[in-house]
Amino acid sequence: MAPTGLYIHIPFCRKACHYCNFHFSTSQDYRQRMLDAMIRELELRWADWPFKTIETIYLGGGTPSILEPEEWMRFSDRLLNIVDSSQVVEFTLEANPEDLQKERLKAWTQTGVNRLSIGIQSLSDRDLEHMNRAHDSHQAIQSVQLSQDMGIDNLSIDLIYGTPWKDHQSWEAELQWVLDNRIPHLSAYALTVEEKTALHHSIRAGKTASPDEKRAEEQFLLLSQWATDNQWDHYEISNLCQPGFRAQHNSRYWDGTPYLGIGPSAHSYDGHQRMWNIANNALYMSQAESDLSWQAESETLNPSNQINEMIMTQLRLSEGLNIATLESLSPNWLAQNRAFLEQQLEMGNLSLVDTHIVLSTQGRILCDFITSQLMVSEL
Amino acid sequence: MQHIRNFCIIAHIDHGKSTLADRLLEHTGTVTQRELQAQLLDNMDLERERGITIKSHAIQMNYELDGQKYVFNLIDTPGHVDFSYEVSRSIAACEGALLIVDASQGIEAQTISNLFMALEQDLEIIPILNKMDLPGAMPEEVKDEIVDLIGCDRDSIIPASGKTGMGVDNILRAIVERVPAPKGNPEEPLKALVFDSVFNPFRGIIAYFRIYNGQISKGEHVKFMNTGMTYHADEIGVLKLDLSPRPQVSAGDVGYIISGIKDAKEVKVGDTLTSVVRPTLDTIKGFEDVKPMVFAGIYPVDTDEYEELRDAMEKLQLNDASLVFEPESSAALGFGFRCGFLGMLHLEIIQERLEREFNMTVITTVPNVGYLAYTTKGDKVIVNNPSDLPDPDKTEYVEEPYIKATIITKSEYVGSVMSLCLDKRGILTNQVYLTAERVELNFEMPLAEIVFDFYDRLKTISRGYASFDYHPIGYKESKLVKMDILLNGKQVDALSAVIHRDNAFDLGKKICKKLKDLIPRQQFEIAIQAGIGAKIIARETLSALRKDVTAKCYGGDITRKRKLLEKQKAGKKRMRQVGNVEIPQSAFMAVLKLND
Ligand SMILES: Nc1nc2c(ncn2[C@@H]2O[C@H](COP(=O)(O)OP(=O)(O)OP(=O)(O)O)[C@@H](O)[C@H]2O)c(=O)[nH]1
Ligand code: SF4
Ligand SMILES: [Mg+2]
Repeated sequence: MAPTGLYIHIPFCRKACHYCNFHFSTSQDYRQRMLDAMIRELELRWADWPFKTIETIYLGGGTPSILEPEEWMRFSDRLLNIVDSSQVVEFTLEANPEDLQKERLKAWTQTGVNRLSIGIQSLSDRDLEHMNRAHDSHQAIQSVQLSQDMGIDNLSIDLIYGTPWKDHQSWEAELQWVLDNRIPHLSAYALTVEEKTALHHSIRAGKTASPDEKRAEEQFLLLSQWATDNQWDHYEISNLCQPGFRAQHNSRYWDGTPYLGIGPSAHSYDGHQRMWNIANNALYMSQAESDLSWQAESETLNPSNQINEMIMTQLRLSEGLNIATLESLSPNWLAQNRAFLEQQLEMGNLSLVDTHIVLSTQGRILCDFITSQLMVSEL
Repeated sequence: MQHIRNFCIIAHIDHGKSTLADRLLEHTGTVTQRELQAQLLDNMDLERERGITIKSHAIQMNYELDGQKYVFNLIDTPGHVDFSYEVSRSIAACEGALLIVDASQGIEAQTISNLFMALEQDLEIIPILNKMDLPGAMPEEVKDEIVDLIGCDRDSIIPASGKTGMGVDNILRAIVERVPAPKGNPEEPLKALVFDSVFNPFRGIIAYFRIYNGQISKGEHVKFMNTGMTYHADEIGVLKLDLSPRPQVSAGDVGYIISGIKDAKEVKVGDTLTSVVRPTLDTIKGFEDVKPMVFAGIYPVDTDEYEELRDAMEKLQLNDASLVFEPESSAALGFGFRCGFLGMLHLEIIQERLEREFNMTVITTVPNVGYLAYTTKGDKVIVNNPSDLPDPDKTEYVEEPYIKATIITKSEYVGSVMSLCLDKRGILTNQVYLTAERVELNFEMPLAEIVFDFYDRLKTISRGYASFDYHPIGYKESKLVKMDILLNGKQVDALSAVIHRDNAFDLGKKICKKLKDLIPRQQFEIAIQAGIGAKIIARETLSALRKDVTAKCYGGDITRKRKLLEKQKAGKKRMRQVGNVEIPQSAFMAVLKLND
């Protein structure tokens, strides 16, 4: 049986960041009830989950670091009682800078957490304020130091570029700060305006300018150049690391390997089917408590969906898209796409490395466009 | 025959014809409670979805009054202007008409036009004041309007409600007492009017007729006098909720015939049906051919599907003789058809039926009206496609179709209605106050100005208090030019339009802007230009696609993103390539929505 990953969604945040479309609530009244419901879900689903060897655990959200140390201890205890964590090699917890305090860090390390993903986002206070983040740049810097002081060196941080308040110089300074602090992993996201967010609303109302595409593009090029200059592994469009520090849990999403997701809005994938949970806290809890299904929807991937996911995820990776595998699944694929591929090759958007199509830095900026061109229709 | 009553229900759109028909069917026990559903006669999917009647529907009912048994043949008609020819055919099969007027709305434009059609055929009119249950009903005012319009006795107007059933008994009685029984002689040779035909995939063409003289029997050898074709009457009968076979149908009655006809062209609505052995000597004056008002190209999205499209169009024509089409080709779109429609609703319906009944995905080009161009050589050219317009230096002049528009509105909106119509090159010809508050306005206007967004704008400026009807009045010379659209210097023939010279700059600018929104950015810059002859009158530039990449692609993002990209991929299949530019389907209809 293939090893699997376990994802746990903690649907609470202190404050709603303006750009965020994840599922969370800022009301903390029913935290215990929610955690109970999630444990209930895990118990029931684990019994049926075919892949019993867990290699990665990822606590995401929301804000998992919001849990008080005792709260976390109790929750993780129950969690690790249900699943066997002896084979776990990566245990990540998403943390926000304002939560990084000694007691919490201690509680996390005690329970096996060996990697933190810290939501730094920016080192500019103006930027942070506009994003409506709960922390300032000082807390951001402190949080990394404290983690390292407490012995967690395996850190990842999130940064957002392409915001109206971040010029190229501050972007480069942030990247330099990553190096200076020996942070081994970076997730760098271009600011994206998602629907139903405060940011979207504010742009539509004319109160905020739309993100400047040109700026985001240039900052992506800077990021790419920075990675090359410093021998970082730019292994996924938005993910970079020092060699050997790739995020193992997140890589499951791109490799097509199974993962079990627990908690409201969490997604699971068993190799054929993708299922996702109700993205509503109250409804999720009442369903789980009455042993009713917490699942919102599921889809069975047909062969063309599977191929398309492969194209979509592999093109984002530095290894690129394996033509040989693709041709074995969809024999006419290359013939149908040859003209387009040659055109893109000539334009410098991609290159051919062995049997793999690899996007160039320029091509990565057009990744979705190229992906949709290369997708297959119903087989 | 003394016990037959043939009547139709006519009214302005939405005044409640089909709902009142439900009540009549219910009260006469024609349908059981179980079979009953709202607007039962609107049996096409599209009719039910849109809540409007598109095609006339005939149905027979039995009714008993004062110990006498009667047979009623009812025909429910559509109210929308595009389908007024359906009303005229139904009228020809009847002796009476229920003229329905919504008590909360009063007389509207199609009330008048449909009434006049019925009066021309000497039908007995039974005025009905419908929707009396509505709190906004204004019975006295609307009665005044009706009396003024028809010159009838105030007491002859029957208050009713299709919702509550109020007045239904009075209506049924009035049908018996006021609609004349059909005249005619069952002993004379068969003489029947074919007033409608439908296509049934299993049974072929089913023709509906109204017998004036004689009778028709199952198996009889019959002849359609106009086409000259003869058939054996495989099945005849009357129109109940379903077809109801009979050995015989006689003078005065309405019925159907199935005779193995497969080709729609063999049955001409308006033809006279008679017996081969004992033919009638005089044919009935048929119907004028319905003339298309708007034209548009319809092309298969997948160029390989041209033959399938032809097949689908032919099948549609079986059911809808008002659809005309002929093959044409376009550099941008390949092979397709230039089609003529009765109006924009008709166009929409055909397009929708092609998509859902025949599974065709089609591109429809910018619709236009038909023009007449007179060349310097003295030739007259019919222009149903802008590309057919001769070069300006070879053109003496161009004429465009005009209509007489009737608009009824409240007096407070007269000002805005006038300015809208004048803006649309209309000329006011008449203005009459129907009551102190309601005005009828008549304009002469170019048809081209009203086919697109006129009605929507009229409704907006009058807050819904304006109704509109029109009929063609011939051609007039106009300052018309052909405007071409160029993408990166290449002309896209399917985007050309004939427009009035005074609007050229404004329209050119609007359409370039619109196209800029509709054409997805590509990997290079695209110049969008509008030109008249060699002269460019407007330009927009669509910049190259710079950045198209999703930042996050984790568990929950994957399904969502994959679906989105798969949809984009499917959309691309529906695009057409002109030069190196890909144009989406929606761009070809862009001109229609210029005011959004
Ligand atoms: N309150 C009320 N509503 C009615 C009455 N008769 C019809 N309606 C409503 O008016 C709308 C139009 O009714 P239809 O019977 O479809 O009107 P129509 O005249 O057949 O419409 P077209 O065939 O499209 O011209 C529907 O929403 C009906 O439910 C009535 O007597 N009272
Ligand atoms: S970005 Fe993170 S902390 Fe901010 S609202 Fe979203 S989930 Fe919560
Ligand atoms: Mg109707």
